Amino acid sequence: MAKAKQNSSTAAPVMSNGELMKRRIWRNKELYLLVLPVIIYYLIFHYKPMYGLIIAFQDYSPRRGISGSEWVGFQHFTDFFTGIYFGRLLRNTLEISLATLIFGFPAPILLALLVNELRSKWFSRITQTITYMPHFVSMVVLCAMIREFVKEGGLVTDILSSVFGYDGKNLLSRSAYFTPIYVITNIWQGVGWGSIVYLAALTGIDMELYEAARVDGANRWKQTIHITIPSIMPTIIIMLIMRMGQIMGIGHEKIILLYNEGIYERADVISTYVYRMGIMNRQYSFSSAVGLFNSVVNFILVIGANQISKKVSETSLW
Amino acid sequence: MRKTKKLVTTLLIPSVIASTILSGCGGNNSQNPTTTAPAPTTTASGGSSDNQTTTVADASNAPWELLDSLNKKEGDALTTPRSNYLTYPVDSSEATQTLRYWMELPGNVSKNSASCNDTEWARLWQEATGIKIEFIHPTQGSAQEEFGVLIASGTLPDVIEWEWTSSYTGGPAAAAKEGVLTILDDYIKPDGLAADLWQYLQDNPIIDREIKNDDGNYYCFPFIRGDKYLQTTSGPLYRADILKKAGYEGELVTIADWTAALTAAKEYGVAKPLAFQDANYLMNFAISAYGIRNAMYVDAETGKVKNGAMEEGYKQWILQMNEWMDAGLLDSEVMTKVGRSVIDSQILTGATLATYGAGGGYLGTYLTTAKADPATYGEDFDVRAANFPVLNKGDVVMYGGGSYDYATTSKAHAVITEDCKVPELAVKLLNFNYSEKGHRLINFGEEGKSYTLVNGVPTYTDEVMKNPNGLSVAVAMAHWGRGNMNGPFVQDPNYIIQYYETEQQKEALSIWNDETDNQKTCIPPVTLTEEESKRYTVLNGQIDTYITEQRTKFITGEADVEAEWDNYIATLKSLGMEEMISIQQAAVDRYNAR
Repeated sequence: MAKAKQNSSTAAPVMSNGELMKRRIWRNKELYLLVLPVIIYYLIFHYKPMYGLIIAFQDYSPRRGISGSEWVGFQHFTDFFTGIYFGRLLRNTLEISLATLIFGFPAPILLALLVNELRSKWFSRITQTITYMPHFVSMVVLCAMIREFVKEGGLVTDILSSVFGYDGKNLLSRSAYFTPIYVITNIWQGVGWGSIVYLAALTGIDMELYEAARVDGANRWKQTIHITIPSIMPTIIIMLIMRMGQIMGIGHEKIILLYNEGIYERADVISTYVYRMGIMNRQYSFSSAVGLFNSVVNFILVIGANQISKKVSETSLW
Repeated sequence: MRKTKKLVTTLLIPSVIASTILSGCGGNNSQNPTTTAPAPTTTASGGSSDNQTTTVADASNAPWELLDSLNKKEGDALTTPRSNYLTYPVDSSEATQTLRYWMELPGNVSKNSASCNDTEWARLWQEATGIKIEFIHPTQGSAQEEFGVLIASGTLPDVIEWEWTSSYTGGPAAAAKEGVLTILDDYIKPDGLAADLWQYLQDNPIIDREIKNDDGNYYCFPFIRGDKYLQTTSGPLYRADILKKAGYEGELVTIADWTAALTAAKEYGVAKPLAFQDANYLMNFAISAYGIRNAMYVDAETGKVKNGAMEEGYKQWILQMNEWMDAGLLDSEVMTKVGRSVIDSQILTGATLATYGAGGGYLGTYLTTAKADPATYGEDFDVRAANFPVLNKGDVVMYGGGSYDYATTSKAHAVITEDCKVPELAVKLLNFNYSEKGHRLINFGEEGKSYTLVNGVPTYTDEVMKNPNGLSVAVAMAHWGRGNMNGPFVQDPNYIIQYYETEQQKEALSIWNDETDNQKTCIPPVTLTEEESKRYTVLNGQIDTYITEQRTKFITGEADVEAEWDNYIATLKSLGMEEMISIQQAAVDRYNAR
């Protein structure tokens, strides 16, 4: 080891950059070997498929393949932007997504803070287990349960009828209720699981900080505001930036399992539209174009969020 | 010795009848240049392998003695395959390759076998033809996606069963151009390797016209619903016992009758008198009364293509459904994908009086389930079929169920791909199904095992009807033959007559098919050109979303159909509905000109 170091330091002045690079790689070959599978994975599964995006600019026919299909340029993009559903899809996507972000993002943080304050080990474990549970239920089963709750005569519908005088119709047949149903069930589903990362961050806080604060006379509330939250702030910001990237990318599975034709008005989002057009209607090129548009907007949002965060809080992903 | 004699006579009787018919038709055959052969002897449908060696003084140079064409006209009952031209099994020197055969795994097969490779019919088919097959199935439920991947992949299997007129972008024309299928004109001819299919098409020129493309080429080995009783097998169903108890004694013919019956049931205490598993079932139930169909159809009076969602009748239908829903007669959940299991249990428990379903899977299941447990469902449990409703008593049902003989909605028409290295072998394999022997085998299985001939009619044995391993009738049928499924063969009506075991089911078949004239208003098996097909798909993408969305809003009352109708029609027009109709009209015109 020492010998190698000596070698490189003596040889360094006469070596070009390229040679130096080779040397370094060779010296750390085990590390590079370790990272190699990951790089290959990304190349095969994340970069190579990007080549397929070409079909968004083609009139793609599966049999003729990418090389044999006709080139149509931005035709499909124009079709989408000028189609009657563009405005509605964009609005719904943003609406459902922002609502999920605004109401859904703080929920696990709150839960983590609450669990953290619990002094009874036994009770906090029980709470955690119960709140994790919906995360492990299959999406299909979960959505069947939701549909059961909100149908005419279902549990939630009945409660609403008796407490607020709701007329008792299936909640999923009224487009106005779709976003609330989506957001609330999303919280139910993900709050426990989402809180894990914050709980982990909480355990990392130096207990001496709290002791010092107590000596200074800070009560529980003050401790939370001045110690706990600032300590987990970097975690919160990283989570938020990562969350920003999903704004346009709300998964289609849950919406497809919940929506019906009557509430497309408020429930149809870009990803469900891509699914219907691409898979059901076999307009591969058109749906690729729509999907590409979606990804570009997402990309811009992540970059934007990262920049803002860099300026405001000095925490950023890169 | 006596036994043999008997057998000979049974064999001879049909051939004698056949030859009588043949000589009777002899004069009408001027259209058919290939049937100038001298009148056949009584060996016509009997001796198959011998035919190979018989030399015929015939212009067609067929190596076998051709039967006279029956040349059935429109309106005549379809015949079943009756020739045995080709020799099976094929010579082992020919069958050098195992054919790779891609098809959807039918539900009834999957309940007992992981693949068609494990079924008796697949074994019998391979033994009888001497050709080896390896079945490849897409994952159940994602056939559409996997078909797309299959087409995009490098080498295609030898044979693919699929629906080519609307489920392949660009239709059969594009499929041929892109090398997915080969044109079969060289085989489907009197001296070709698919001569048995050719003979069947000669006997039934109606079908011959249906299965060709607009250029007059053959492109597939088709699935044929070989009888009118196979064409409408779903329809309105209702609990006859409840209706009786509710004190309703009228008939169920008109919409007004239904209103009265549903009201009586409601008053009797039936919670949701009319319920459906989803919106399409709701449409199929009563839209026929308004002289329209769901989506594209052919108007019975003018012969013009129309789209149901654009017609005045559609509005009338919605208003009627609104009325039923407001009165509590129609399930208010109907537009939210209720699902089949819910409907099944509602019918069985009497929470629902009427729904829409198939005579086999729905009606049959209800009756057998209730019969097995009379303590729960009642001794007098009775579900019956009603005809598709009409507006005025005396109207003929023109827009109910129905399908064409060449069943373009089934993903079951076999093509031979361009990647197939031994197309002759694949043709021989598929042609077998359209020969007399093959027809029996592929529909019913093995004589003596799964069926026996009773008065010339293939009759399922207890191996199928009371399966010793406890398989249900449908699953046992699907293990031995393809009769109750679809595929490249002529479906035999004798399967359904036996499958529909109960009196109620047989009655249903007669109600739905005897007094109706549904096929006339179905869109015939047209083929769109590649350009048309692409344009149609693009337009349909937006229009279909709009129609289903508006339909749901109208039915649930979220939108007022009277107030928004003009706006709705205007939007449909701006989305290109008229262009879609004219594309379809052009295709129908070309079809009619075939």
